[in-house]
Amino acid sequence: MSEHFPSLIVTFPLMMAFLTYIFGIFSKKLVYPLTLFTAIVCVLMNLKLFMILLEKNSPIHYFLGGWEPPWGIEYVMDYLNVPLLCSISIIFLLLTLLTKELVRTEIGKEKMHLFYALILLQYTGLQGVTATGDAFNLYVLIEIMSFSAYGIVALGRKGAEFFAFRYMIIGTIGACFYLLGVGHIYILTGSLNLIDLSKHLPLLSWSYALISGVLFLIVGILIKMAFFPFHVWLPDAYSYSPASVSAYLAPLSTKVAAYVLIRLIFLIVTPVFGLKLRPVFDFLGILSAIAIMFGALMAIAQKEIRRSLCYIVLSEIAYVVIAISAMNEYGFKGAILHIINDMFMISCLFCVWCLVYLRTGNTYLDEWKGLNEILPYTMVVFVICALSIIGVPPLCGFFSKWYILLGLLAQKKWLFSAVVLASGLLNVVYFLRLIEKAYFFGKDKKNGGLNHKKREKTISIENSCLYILAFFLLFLGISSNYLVENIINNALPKVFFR
Amino acid sequence: MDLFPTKFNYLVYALLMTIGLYGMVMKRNLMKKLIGMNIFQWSIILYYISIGAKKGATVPVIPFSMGEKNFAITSHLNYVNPLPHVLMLTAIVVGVATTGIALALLILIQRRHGTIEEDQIIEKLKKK
Repeated sequence: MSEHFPSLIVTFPLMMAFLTYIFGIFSKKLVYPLTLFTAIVCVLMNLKLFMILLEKNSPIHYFLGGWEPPWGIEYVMDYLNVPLLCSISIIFLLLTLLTKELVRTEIGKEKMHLFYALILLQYTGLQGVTATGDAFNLYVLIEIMSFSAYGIVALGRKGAEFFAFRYMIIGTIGACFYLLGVGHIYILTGSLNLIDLSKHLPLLSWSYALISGVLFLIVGILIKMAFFPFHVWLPDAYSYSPASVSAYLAPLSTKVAAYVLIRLIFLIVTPVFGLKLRPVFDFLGILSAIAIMFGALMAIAQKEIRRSLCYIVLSEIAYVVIAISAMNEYGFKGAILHIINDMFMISCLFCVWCLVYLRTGNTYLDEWKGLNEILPYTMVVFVICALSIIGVPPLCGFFSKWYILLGLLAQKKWLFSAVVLASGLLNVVYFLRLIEKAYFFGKDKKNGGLNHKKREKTISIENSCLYILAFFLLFLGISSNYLVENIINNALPKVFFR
Repeated sequence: MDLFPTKFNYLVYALLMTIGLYGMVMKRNLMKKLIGMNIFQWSIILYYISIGAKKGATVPVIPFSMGEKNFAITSHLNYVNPLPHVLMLTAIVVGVATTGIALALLILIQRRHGTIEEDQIIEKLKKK
């Protein structure tokens, strides 16, 4: 059975998405247990894959339908994507548990089966994009991921459908650029398999078709990951969508796109090709330096908390690109580690916001006054998460930024290193304002929300999920040395170990 | 100058793609944006189909009767490359799905805002 796990982690949620919808028509009670069941099974399958990988110590190849690689579709499980698959599925499970109440109040019982079907389809896309080893299959799965995102974003308050439409227009441009890049690469090599491509691409001679193909691929993915000049869709779409939807989308979809970027760049890092593309990556470095500062500053300027968290997402995703622009061993280690850490940090942040929204109905910065009195435990988790994003040592955010900084310093990019450090300071400013509001102001009598009087319990399903997420922040931080030495080291292409 | 007769398909695709991008970025009416998006997608499909097509080639099916073991192996030059065409079947499905979602969203926008002009919607959203 376990030899089919590489395809089952994608096909199982796909099947369950349709089953959830069909069962949901007859009985609404079945919808949530089915979703939860899918999430748990996927976590178990991914952990099993991780164990097999550690045992075997070489990538697992799975041929769909038994067709061999250059012709058929291949799913590859290696050290780069299995840790990511595990974190995606764990976060998805925690989010499913945490947003149960929120979905019930926000979406309503009537539309619940549709909502969960779309969420599961989105999950299928996320897992598939991470698992696949075929360039065209990747395109289809990216579109599955995005389509369901458009649908669930549009469920939000008035204006959400307009921003979902805008998101769709920009997202389609990104996906089409990606498809065009795949076309160029296909003409030149005659192959769509990513491993096969990594053998053929370095042998090709220099041509405009090749460089334009690679650039189309990179730009397409940058649009999907909401990188700086193409970020316009993200804050609007996420801040108008339902609260639970932003918690599902924000931590996962942009990070998966960042993973695709790293996967594509691993195809083309060879001494010769890397040297030719040097100016492109220098330019990307400048853009991401601007993006980091822009995100951190815009986060401070916002009045609405969820919108400012969206800008934090933009700022954090740019760290991955600035790490890639260093184009050395430390940079890529930092980039991969940061994707995993960032998933947990952003999901923790959005979960805290969701719980505050669920229990008090607060959305604006001024309404956070005295939250500590009502939600003491949530606020503790929020402080841990804030410290992690700022980059305080025992927590995971510090370590990935440390590697990124090492990579930039090794390339003598002083300005970029300064930007990475300065944005940490800007994040301090941003989070201290929220913490100050929550801890050092008395309860605001005017803004009584729905359940404003009730003090939260220590142990509830939602709170335990938050504690687990906070535990992961600490755990990833402490074990980051093991992660980098034993797992991420093996994920890097051989070029870095001359 | 042999660009025009030999690479005619690619010129058309580049032209269509530019028209599509222009429509998506510059037009303020959401329906026109959607049409621009469709043109953009179909231009890429045209591009892929051009990759696989060959002059004077036939469908890539080798004719042989049942039970016959060694059928005639002819040159691959006589057949078109089927792979890009098969890929485009999937891409067409993706394109149709995008159009479907976009139309559904447009209906929702029309219902909630009473218009599909981008400027008016933004104005209304800002007022609130």
